[in-house]
Amino acid sequence: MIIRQKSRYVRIGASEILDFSDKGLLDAFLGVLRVEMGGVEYVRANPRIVDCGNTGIVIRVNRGFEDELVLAVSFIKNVAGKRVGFYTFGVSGSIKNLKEKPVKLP
Amino acid sequence: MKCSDIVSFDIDRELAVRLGIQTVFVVGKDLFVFERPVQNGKPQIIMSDDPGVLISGVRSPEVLGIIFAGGNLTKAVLERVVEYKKKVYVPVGRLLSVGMAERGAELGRLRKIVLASRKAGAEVRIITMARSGMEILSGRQLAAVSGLILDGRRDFGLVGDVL
Repeated sequence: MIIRQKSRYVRIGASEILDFSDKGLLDAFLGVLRVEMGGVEYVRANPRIVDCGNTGIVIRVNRGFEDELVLAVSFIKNVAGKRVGFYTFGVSGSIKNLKEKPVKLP
Repeated sequence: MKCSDIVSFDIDRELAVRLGIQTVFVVGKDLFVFERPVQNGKPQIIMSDDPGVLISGVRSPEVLGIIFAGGNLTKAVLERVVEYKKKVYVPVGRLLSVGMAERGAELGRLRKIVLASRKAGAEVRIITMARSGMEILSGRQLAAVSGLILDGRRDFGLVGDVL
């Protein structure tokens, strides 16, 4: 029997315009994320960047660790010497559901 | 989940909705934050460490709630907050921006405020009071921070309607 680890996808945006296609920047981001989450928690959560766009990135994380990721992202204020804040646009079980939808104003 | 927040800069409303925050109140536009109550007929929040100022502020009809600026929590203030049906606002901006060494102390201070206020029967709301886009949080992040403050028990009641 093959046991498949279920995942959650978290869409993350930045307060500043960042070039998410830059591998160095993504490595720096994951490095800061590792510090904020803690080494053991980071390994258990196993975050992986699965999509990079101009408006943000999508991170895949093991199910049950999405709250830790969201919290760790809130604490990140500096990446690669640049002062920047990150916020989450959504958490979903499938990457398809995280696609940007038109905003309905209340 | 309905989420609202108080910020200190002119936030893009579309971005706020995308972040899951239905209503955003801007300090200096929709409401004011003062160190002592001011009679100007506008909704305001009193931010002070002095129990006397907080008690006199709570009695004012223009005051929506209070912010404990320090760790000086007194039973008399919380009793007045409950009596006059005001709210206790907890800004989490400092918790998210201080270094790791100070984070534990700040978290302990906020936890003390939230737990004591709830025990007294007061309504508590977590806000960011963000001064720039860098400090803004989404609804989900606010809920996660509430879980951190309440030691793992995520509480959507803390991120509800701020007014």
